[in-house]
Order: sequence, then C-alpha cells, then structure tokens
Amino acid sequence: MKTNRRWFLSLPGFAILASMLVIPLLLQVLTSLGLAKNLSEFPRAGSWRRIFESTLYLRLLYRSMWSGLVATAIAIVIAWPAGWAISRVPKGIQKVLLGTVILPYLVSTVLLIYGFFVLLAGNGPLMSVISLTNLISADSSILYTHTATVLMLAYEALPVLILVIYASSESIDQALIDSARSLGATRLKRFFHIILPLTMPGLVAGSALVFVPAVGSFVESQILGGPNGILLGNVISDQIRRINDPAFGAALSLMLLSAVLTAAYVFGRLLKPLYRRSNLA
Amino acid sequence: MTKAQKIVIASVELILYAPLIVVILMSFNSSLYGTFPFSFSLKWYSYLLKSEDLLIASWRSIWLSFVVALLATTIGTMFAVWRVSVKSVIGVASDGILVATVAIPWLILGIAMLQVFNLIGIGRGTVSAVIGNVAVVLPYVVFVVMTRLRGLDENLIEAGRSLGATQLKSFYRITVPLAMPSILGSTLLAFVVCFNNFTIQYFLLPLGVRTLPLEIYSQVRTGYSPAINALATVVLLGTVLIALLLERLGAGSKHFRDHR
Repeated sequence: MKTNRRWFLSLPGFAILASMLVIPLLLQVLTSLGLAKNLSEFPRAGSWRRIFESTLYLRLLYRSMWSGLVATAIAIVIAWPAGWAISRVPKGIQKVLLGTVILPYLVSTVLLIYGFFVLLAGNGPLMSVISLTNLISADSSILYTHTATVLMLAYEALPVLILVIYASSESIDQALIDSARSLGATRLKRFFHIILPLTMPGLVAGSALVFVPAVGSFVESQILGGPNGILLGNVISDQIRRINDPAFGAALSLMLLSAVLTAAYVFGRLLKPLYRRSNLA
Repeated sequence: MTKAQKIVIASVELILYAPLIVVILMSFNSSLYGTFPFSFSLKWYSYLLKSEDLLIASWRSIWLSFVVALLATTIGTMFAVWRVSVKSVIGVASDGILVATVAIPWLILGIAMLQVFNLIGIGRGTVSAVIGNVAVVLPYVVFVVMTRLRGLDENLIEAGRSLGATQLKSFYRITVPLAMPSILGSTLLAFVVCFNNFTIQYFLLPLGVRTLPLEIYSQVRTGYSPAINALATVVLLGTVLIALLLERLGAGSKHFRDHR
C-alpha cells in the first residue's frame, strides 16, 4: 500500500462536499454582489450597500453575536463543574452519565425548543411551581422575551461542552491534584493553576463549536423570543422563505459568517496565553 | 462519589431533562392548554393515531433519513478508508472541510445549497433535500469510521497480506468486518441527525411538503399542541432506543479490540 491506490474512494465524498459546501458558499458571494442574475426572479445589486445604509442590520448582528456569547458563557459555567465531576466518578457510572448527556444532543432542536416552550408557558409547569412562592403570578413568564432565547441557546450548548470538558479533564492525573492539595494549595488555587490551564484547549475548541451555530440560530428566537426578540438569523431566513430576495439574504449570511468566524478566531487567540503559559501540559 | 459531585451531576441532569420530562408528562395530561391541575389521560395518543398530517410527516421523515443514512454511510466509509491512508496536506484540508460542514450554521449552508439547486434548475425537492442532508451528516460518518479504522491493528492486515490475500481481499475479509460496528453505528447516527435536522429540510423541501421537524415547527408556531407532546414522546422513545443500540455497537467494537 505504498502508492495510494485508494484515491478513487474519496471521489463521491469530495463531490458532495464540493457541491454542497465549497461551491454554494462561493456562489453566495456572486449572488450577494448581484452577479448571479439568471438565478432568481429578483436579482438585485447593491445588497451590500443596503446593509450598511442603516444601522439596523449591524445592530441585529451585534445582538446575535452578543446572544451567542452570553449563551456560551452561561453554558460553560454550568458545563464545567459537570464535565469535571463526571470525569472523577467510577467508570461504570461514568458511562451511564455520558449516555444521558449525549441523548439530548440527538433529540431534534425543534422538539427541545418546544419542550422549553411548554416548560416556560404562563400557567405551565415551571410557572405553576414558582408561583407557589407567591412572589410572582403563574401567568407571568419569560416566554416571548429575549432572555428565553438566550437560555435556550445555552441549553443547546450544554451536551457538547460537558463532553469536551469531560474529555480534557479525564486525562488529568488525580495524583497531580492530590499532591497540590498536600502541598497546601487551596481549592481555588488548584482550580486556577491545574484544572483551568489543562482543560482550556478543549474548552476553547468546544466553545467555538457551540458559539458559531448559536450566532446563526433563528428557530429559537422565532418560537421563544417574542415580537422584539428577532435575531439576524430570522431576517436572513425571511429573505429566502418570505421576501424572495436571495441576493440580500446571501449578503447578510456572508456578513454573519465572516463576523462569527473572525470572532471565534480572535477569542481563540486571546485565550491562548492563558494555557500556553502553563508548563504542566 | 462525593456529595459535591452528586449535587453537581444531579442539577445538570435536571436542567438537561426538564424540557423533555415536561413534554412527556404533558402528553398524559388531558388539559388542552398544558395547564394544571394534572389529570391523566391517553386521549392525545389516540388523537395522534388519527392525525393524518403527523403520520404522513413521520413516515416521510423515516424514509428520507433512511435513504440519507444509507448514502452517507456508503460515501462516508469510502472517504474514511481513503482518509486513513493519506498523510499529505490534502488529508488535513479534507478534515478542515468536514469540520466546517459541522461548524458553519445550517441556516447559512441551507440557503447556500438552495441557491445551487436553483441554479441547476432542480430547485426545492426531495432529491435536493436528500443530497443536502447527506452533505451535513457526512462528517459524522467519516469521523466515527475513521476513528475506528485508526484503532485497527495494522499487523492483522499485514498478516493477511503475507498469507497471500490481495489488497482487495484483505480489505473485505479483515478491515470491513473489524470496522463493521462503527459502520453500523455511523448509519444510526446519520439517521438520527438527519431525522432531527430542521434547518436543511426547511430550506430544501418544497413548501407544504413537511417532514416531522417541519410539521412540529408549523404546529408550534400556532401555539401549544397536545398531540405534539404525544408525538414527541414517541420520537424520544425511538431516539433512546437508537442511542442504546449505538452504545451496544460501541461495546461491540471494544469487544473486537479486547479479543483480537
């Protein structure tokens, strides 16, 4: 097997990836510039100018990015202790726990959003329980607010983040932590000097994997976000499904894609010193 | 397990399962609006059996996911077999493209694919939806099978070759059987991911042709729907079964590894 005679096996895969990823994205560039005239009934040039004519779309982009960031941050705060805890339990239980973490990831997002919708509904299960405290009435709810959308995005990020943190925690030698403890390192010190630097590389990669789709989300805000909760994703989706302006939709989606990839890259670079400096790894 | 570990794990499991448990509970609640008091009833399940829209959508989803899973497994396994034999830049570049397919928001991919289908004149349709879904589930198949192939003992293949098996024969008699659990596992994974994918189907299927995620979406937009609770419970049950099967296949590959 010195010379690679298997190259032909890769052809169908490359054909699919090229025709469904590379070519479509390149075509979107042409479409957004209004150059792909024969493609749609309503070819329009000047889509890029339209984006920057008002601050509306930039504000929506900002809101989408900020929502993705807050959702990722909330998810990290919940996933970190969980991923760490799962990495320290006996193997038998660990397998079951990992299974229960993966399961929601396999469930349809639309179903999960619907579950959130039922959970949060006024007079629904959650509000009925909370209203027992008499602090707020059962028919008030955060449903149809932007908060609900962000919480939903955080929820969706949990399985991936827990798995990533688990995977990078699992390889940390318990002896390392025990010896730090016996040398007098406090719980906080052990966290910041051992656990944090060692789980950081996995966490950065995992965060990017959940942040990017969160910024590009649109179903969450449509169902849970209420009239004032729309994100850039909703506007993009509407260009295709309702307004039939593919050129503008292409321009908006390319703006979203480049912004989110830049952000993910910059955050990765900013966080790098945090774990590069550690010579434990 | 320490007490702190137990508390942390229990709370995160509660968060993960709250929306699912609520839907399951509500599917047995006779209230039309999902409100309390709770009174047990199976009427939404019998309603479900009579709801033609939901049954048609379910059948369409199963059929679509089945075709997509078969195609993706075939193409993806071939791709993985090629990928493990390559150490050049092309291999790394193909990994990059696969990761991009998973990481780029499906909204952006979906509308970009639609443009291509519009360009070549197919437009929205079942064929478009099949091809688009194969593309987004392909990375899952490739990574699962690739991981398994990388873990295979090269000595077994070498031994087969030295005993006179041709390259093709050693592939079919040694590599494929050893990788089988992961190939079957990737088929199930591809099925589940496609079955649950809303976004690609939203943009690539013709308006009015609804798979299950699309049907659920359109019903949810008009408000609470108890029949959806019952359906969601059934779908969840199916997902759990497939997840258990996946787990068994994972155990199967471990069995192979331990006894080789």
